[in-house]
Amino acid sequence: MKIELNHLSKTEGRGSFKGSLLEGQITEAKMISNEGARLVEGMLLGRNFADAPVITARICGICPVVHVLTATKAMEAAMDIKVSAQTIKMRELLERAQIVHSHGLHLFFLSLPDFVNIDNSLRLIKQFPCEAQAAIKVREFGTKIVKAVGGRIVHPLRAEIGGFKVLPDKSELERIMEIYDETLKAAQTVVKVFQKLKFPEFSRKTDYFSLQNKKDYAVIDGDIASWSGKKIKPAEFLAHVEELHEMNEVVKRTRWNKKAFMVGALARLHNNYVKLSPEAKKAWKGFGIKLPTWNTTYNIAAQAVELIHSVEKCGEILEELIKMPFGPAKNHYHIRAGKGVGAVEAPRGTLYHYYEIDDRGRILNCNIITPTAQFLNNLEEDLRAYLPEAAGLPDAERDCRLKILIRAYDPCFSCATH
Amino acid sequence: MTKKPTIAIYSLTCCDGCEFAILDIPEKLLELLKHAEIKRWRLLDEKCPPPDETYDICFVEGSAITKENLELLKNLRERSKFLCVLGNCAEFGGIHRIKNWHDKEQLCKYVYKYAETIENPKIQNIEEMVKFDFVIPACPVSGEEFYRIVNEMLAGKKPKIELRPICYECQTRGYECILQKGQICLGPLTIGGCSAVCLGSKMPCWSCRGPLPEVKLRPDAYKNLMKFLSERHSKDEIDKAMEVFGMKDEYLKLSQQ
Repeated sequence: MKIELNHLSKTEGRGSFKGSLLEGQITEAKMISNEGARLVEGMLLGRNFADAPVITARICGICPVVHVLTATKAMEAAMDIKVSAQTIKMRELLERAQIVHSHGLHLFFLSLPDFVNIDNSLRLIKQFPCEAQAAIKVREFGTKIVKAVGGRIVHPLRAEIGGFKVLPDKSELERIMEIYDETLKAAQTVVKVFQKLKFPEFSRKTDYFSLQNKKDYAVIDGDIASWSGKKIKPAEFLAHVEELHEMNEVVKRTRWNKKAFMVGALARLHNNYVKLSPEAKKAWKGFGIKLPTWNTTYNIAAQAVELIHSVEKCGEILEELIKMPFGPAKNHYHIRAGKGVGAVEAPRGTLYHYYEIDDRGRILNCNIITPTAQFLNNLEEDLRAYLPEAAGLPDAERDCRLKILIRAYDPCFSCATH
Repeated sequence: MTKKPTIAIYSLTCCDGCEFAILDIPEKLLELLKHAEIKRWRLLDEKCPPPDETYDICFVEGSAITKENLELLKNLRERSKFLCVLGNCAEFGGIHRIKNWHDKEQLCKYVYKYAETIENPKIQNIEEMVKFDFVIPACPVSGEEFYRIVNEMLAGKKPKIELRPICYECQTRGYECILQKGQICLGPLTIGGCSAVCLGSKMPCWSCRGPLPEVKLRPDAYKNLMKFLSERHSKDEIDKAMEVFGMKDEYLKLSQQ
């Protein structure tokens, strides 16, 4: 029996699923990227270090912020550049705002239709007018922040190595702060929709990897932590990660210590639950899910909880920035040879950039490992575990269940096929 | 009641950023839906369209990297009354075109173990692949400009982009000229209409909207700019800036005129 889901809709980039069962045994369960090979790592070779954030932003139209920040941090690590507390705050604001608008889109417009059996997200707006308006409002809060701080929503312009090219206009930040209260309410409205959903029953043990630090629900800095108790520096993580290439495939899957693992909202929530805000914890309790859970479709629930947490954190940082007198936009630095790793939490999991540059700032080597490339093995193992059960269902229902699981991961085939 | 015109939005290999630029102005999208039917947009719709589905206006973003990409592009041309190219990747090949300036086999080997099994064609301009009716330029496209142009099309007007250089928009907004300050900025050669968004953030213009037709006809402006830039920068630095949005071939042609 063959099960094929060709050119899945409602994902970032294009991908397909191919599965085969023979007498109830899985013989194949594979995710395939339908994007062309883009060779971004290759095209960076020989270029100036400052081009890395500009070019890698173009890997992904939904999460360009995280590519800009990760490339920037990796270059700063390579040249041992320190940045100001103000720069760190603005970067954190950008990343959390990116998570707000990406999660808002994925939750409501890409994932929800599967659960309520509507095939067109625009029709969803008619069926859930209040909730749709709430989702649009939350997304707008995120996109407005990215525009104010980054200069543009898609492929932001202002963040650079050493700091920012231009500082945000405080009156713009104040105007965004005026919609904070209604945004938080809207986020809660969106979350309520998901608390009422019936998630598929599923469980397969894995390991969860994410950033972790002492002060916060980490997104832009920290060590790499796993649910199984590992705690290592990002560079050490990269030293032990295997990238596997198979013939005719444009995505390189990854394993850590020979095993598949999970990254993303559910991984972050497992590793950093205690750092969630009280409101976000309350939202998680509203789902009634106990930790640890090995049901990866709950990644959607974790995204919903992160939506609330991220809106609140954006509000906090906005207030701080509005009150503080701005210092210089960027720190001056000297170009020197070196190697460096950057790791930042993208909406769908930890993104790694590695660069080696020479003493004139030219890129000698580079490696980018995206969240989707990391979790693709884990998703395929989940699909293997899930298929025998789903195979007995009527075709339409079976396909819908498979899509719920695939979309719950929030895969980005554009990023994976960089 | 007359039937609403049908629209489709397709993408080839790219970041999908032009689609997000459209999605990020939801009020304009909802308004558009009153006047047109979006028959196919995979970002928001589950249905797989029949292979012979036709469209009044079809937007295509992204570069043709796989054979499947190229076939789809040609096929969409056949099925659409009006084919509108969306963004720099579709028009000039975008960042993907950088590989044309390298040993592309070597580049592929750097990324993939089994490089020989990976499709790795030379990246081309849109006019080398299909006939098209209009281009909405830039990386990414401006959502505002997209809706203005779509609405003009729906009103039966011939859509238009003002042909004046980026410098006009930069200077009228009072932005500091970073070309004068020594950066590689191609603003004087480039089609405006983006509100000089990059310059507003002190990011130089690298011509993602493409060269002005008058620059192509009379390359004096190009030659003067190159003379100015080459006093301050190496040829390699200038070339690399032009490669990012697929402009190097365009401007090379001018230097030979």
